[in-house]
Amino acid sequence: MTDSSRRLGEAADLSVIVQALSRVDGLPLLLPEIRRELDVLAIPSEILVLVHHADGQTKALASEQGALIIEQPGRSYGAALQAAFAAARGIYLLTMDGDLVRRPAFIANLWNNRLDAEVTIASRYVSGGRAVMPPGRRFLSRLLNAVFSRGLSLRIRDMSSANRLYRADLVRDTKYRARDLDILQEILVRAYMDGWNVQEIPFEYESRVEDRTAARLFDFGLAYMKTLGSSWKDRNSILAADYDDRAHDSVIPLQRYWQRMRFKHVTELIAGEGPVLDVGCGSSRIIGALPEGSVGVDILLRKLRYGRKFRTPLVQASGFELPFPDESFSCVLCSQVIEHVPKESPVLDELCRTLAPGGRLVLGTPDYDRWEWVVIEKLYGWFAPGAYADEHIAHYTYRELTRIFSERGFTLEATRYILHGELILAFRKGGRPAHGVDWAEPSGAQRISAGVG
Amino acid sequence: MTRSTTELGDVPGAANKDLAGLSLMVCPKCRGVLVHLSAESALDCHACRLRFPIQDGIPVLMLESSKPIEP
Repeated sequence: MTDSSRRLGEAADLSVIVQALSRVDGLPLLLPEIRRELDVLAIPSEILVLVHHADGQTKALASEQGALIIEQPGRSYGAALQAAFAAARGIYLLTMDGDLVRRPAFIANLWNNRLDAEVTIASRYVSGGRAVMPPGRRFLSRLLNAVFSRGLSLRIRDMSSANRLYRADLVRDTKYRARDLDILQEILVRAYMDGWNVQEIPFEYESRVEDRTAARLFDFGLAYMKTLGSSWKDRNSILAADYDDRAHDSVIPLQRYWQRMRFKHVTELIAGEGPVLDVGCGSSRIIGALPEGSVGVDILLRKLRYGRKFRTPLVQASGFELPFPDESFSCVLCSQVIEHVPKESPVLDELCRTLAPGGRLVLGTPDYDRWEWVVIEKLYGWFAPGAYADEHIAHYTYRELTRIFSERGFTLEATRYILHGELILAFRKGGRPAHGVDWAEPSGAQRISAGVG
Repeated sequence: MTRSTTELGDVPGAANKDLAGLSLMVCPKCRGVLVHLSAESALDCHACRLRFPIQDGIPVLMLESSKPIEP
């Protein structure tokens, strides 16, 4: 056993999972190569070899290389892979085919890119990548990837590559439905659903395995189609981390128009008003258009995780207890939130509390006095049962909102509608801003202190 | 036990690397000052004796996600 290997059961930075299954004849060459690659990295690591059945020779080889054998007799690939995830002790898990011809030099490449994304794929189909395999298998692989990538709006070229690096907690804590190779696609769909970053790096792939039988390919095809169907539902769920961002470029013209009009109105109404507190920011593209000093708040961590790409500070918090002092923002935005919470909730109080005197409140919600909205929502509910329409529990109207905010000393400054149904109002809070306040630079008294706990 | 703390700004995560951008944050319960413990990847409210986690660079300022600070 070498310096970088851990005794079995000890924690490791990296677990390499070799997916040999029934193809153990390549292991005598592969395992020493992997060990050499890990020694170069000089990190605490372990090797796990996933096999259906380990004979005496395989066990001896594993023992010699300090590797752990995980036997999964008669079990599917999906179940075997999950068993390996559970057994691995690493903070990162690297999965690789057990039939690779080339030296596994990509291990270092994956490891060195680990901080750029939670999932890194060694990809055959990005620029610089290459796949050497029989033409039939190559054609099916490209077809499969094209169907999944387009059908699920995933910007991944090689969804079927089994050579990947995962942050372990992502996959270890998730139960997957897929039982066969289609687990590879499901893992990526779930990662996207939860707002994790997925990246691809070039990989030169060469396999020793000949074409699979037609019957086996047919089985794979069926499993893939099943996973595509269930994944499509997940991808188009409102709970998907990137739902709001994707809607901006939706293939459905009405949805795309609606999202873009909302973006246009909101960004116009917050322009020039200073730093914005965006309450219920979701994963909308508006986050990326907020001025410096702004903060996005949402209750769903997965949407915030996805929203990190917009480079605006984000906080998970409840709109009922905003973690900001009184009168701390010159502009407060709350779009498509208040209809989701009971009218007696403190959310409106919190919006008013955090807004500075003389500041602007931009509030968006459907107007239930408008027949156009009532019809649209009815149609939306029919076409997309379980989507946002069912979650609208507080029905506001223009008259009600203008009365509520008038009573609080706010002045209505702008009224916008999207398709005569969605209402976006801009109010000015009474009072004058404190003299000399620079919104981009919070006062020292309000800063978080860094000290000894 | 004394915990080491570092300056704001070395929290892992793509967007919130610079927690100074969130310098207005207060405790959601008492609206008091939060102390950033980067070694623990957390924010502490000493008044409420509550610790709020920072997950993937995102402060989680939800009371249900907070834990009591150990004496």
